[in-house]
Amino acid sequence: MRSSLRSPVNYAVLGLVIEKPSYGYELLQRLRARYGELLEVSSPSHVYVALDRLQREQLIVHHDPSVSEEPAEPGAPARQPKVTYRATAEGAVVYRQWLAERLRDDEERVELLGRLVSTGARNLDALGDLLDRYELECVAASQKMPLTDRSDGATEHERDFVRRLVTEERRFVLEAQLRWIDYAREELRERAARLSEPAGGR
Amino acid sequence: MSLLVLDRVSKRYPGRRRTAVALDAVSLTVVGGELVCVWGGRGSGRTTLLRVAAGLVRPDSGRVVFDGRELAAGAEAATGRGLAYAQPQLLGPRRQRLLDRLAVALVAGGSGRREARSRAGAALERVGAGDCRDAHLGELDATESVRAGIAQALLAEPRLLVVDEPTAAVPLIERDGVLALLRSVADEGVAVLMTAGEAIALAGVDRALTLSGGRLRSDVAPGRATVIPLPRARGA
Repeated sequence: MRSSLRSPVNYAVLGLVIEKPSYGYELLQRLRARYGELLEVSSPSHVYVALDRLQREQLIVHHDPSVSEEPAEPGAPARQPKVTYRATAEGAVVYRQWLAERLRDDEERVELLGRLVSTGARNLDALGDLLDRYELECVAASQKMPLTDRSDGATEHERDFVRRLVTEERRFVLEAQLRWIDYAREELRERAARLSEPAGGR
Repeated sequence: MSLLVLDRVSKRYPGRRRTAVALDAVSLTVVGGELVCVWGGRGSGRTTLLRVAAGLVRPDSGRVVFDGRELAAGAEAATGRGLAYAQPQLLGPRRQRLLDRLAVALVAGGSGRREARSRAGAALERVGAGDCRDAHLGELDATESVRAGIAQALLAEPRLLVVDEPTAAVPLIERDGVLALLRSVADEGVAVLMTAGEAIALAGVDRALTLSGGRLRSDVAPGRATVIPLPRARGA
């Protein structure tokens, strides 16, 4: 993966441009329609920042037929042209590589586990607190997962279908994370009990 | 106002070698129209908690108050006041027709047979099991059984529906349909208290109560989370 691209929004935008040359606002709408809550795009500028970066990396270029038809007069007031982008051959290669790459753990999780390790086994209370926080986040995320009710018998659009499957994946990951938290807490309890035995016993 | 209040409820199961602590001073409240899921792993005490909440099991200590009255009198008194426990599997002759099975309780309660059948049919439609009305009890699959149990509970016109593990036996692909049904019941104003062994069943619930080792560990609503601090190690 190109370290300079890093954000999945950049890759998502690149993928959309590869599918169909588009201008900024249209990309924002397509991004939201395709990824929904999977990719949080807090403001439209996020997409423009992505376009800017992709352009600098020469993965996309302007694709504006109107420019060649009527070149702007020098000195004329600059009208906001609707700039359309298309992907370069290199952009297509980079995108394919990204798709093929092993999906990495999300950063927050890695950070939390890192903190667990750095807290160490000496401070069991602090470890417990970290597990609590981790659990709260996972539980809250589980609650926000959308439900699929098949009872109306309708078949969803193919785009929605894949999006839902991907969202479901997150649900199973959360399940596994919570299971681990439960297990880790059990281990903490065991350890705390063993450590307190000689002191409290006699 | 709180519909159901559990106040420092404890329950132990003494055995020959050791006493299992199923619930350790658990407190919780459920208000009207709320979908609450008690979630925890095996041995967390979730089923005991649910049975205590439904008045089916008497706690060793602590109070269970439903609709302002203590549940000491047991499940039957609670049913009269609007608490219904959904049976995970309807008991009865395997060859009994589901519609008749549901209608029996209504007839016993004073309804005419025709009216009872019609209400039972409507309840089955309500829970998405309308096509099972003529099926025998023994023919129902796991999902249909859960839906039928909920239909039976809804016939009591409860204000609180208590459901133990509605998704446990249901195939993954049908799980969300059951959860969506419970969500819709809550949206109609009936509080729902359910348990789950998998966090996947937490989707769409208003509050998730995490139970671990018989203790409530957290009370999470999306956007609002409360950690219940553990008492420090005993003897320490």
